[in-house]
Amino acid sequence: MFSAACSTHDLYYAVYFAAVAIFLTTYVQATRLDVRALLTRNWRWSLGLGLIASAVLVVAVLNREDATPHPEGLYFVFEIAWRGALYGAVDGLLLTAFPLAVALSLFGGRLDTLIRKVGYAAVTLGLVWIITATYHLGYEQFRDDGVGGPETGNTIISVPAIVSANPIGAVLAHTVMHVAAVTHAYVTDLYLPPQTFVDDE
Amino acid sequence: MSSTTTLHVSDYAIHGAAAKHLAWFSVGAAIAFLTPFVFSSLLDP
Repeated sequence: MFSAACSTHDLYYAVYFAAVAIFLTTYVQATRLDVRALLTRNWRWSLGLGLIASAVLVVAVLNREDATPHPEGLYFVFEIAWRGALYGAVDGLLLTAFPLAVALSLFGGRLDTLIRKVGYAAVTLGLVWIITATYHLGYEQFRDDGVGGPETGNTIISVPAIVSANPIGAVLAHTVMHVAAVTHAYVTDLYLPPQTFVDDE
Repeated sequence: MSSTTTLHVSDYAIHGAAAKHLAWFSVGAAIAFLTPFVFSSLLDP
């Protein structure tokens, strides 16, 4: 079932994962970002809110998308892991964790006053919207249809990260959304760009 | 006089750090756009 048509998008994801991994590793090293502090701060809040956001997003996927055909057998298991879990986690890192880290750095990591908290939340949300739009406009389907859907979805995904100043809940929510989309609506034109079709042969 | 000088140096340091982080964000946004723009269409069957 590893047909050429089905594996083309998987090859693209490998390029995307590598590009994001190289960039984020370079960013962390160059800015000496304290990843451990970022991942341990308010982690229970982040995870709890991430679970709530995950539930909202699964319901949204099920309600918005009709069930579609999907590959069978081992290739489908691979797709759940590759196009679902890994692609969702990488998206979560680039589209929420990275702008969150930039915003926190802009505020020197200090969110000790109300004005700083409000400012940090506004800056984070703005950066999330900017990078979500630029990323999705890289795909032809969103240059035609607009980025309203992805912006709404990634705002829901990013709320746990913004509230807790910790990205793990957002990465979890993005991952859960992708897995739900792969299993329920494999050929979706919204949740898993680029749009992919199932080879019936 | 020296305290004024110190304050200016500190201001430059803060502005420089902010500019550095925003520059990194711009690079990230560029990669976020260019990766799908270039490669998703190249690999389109």
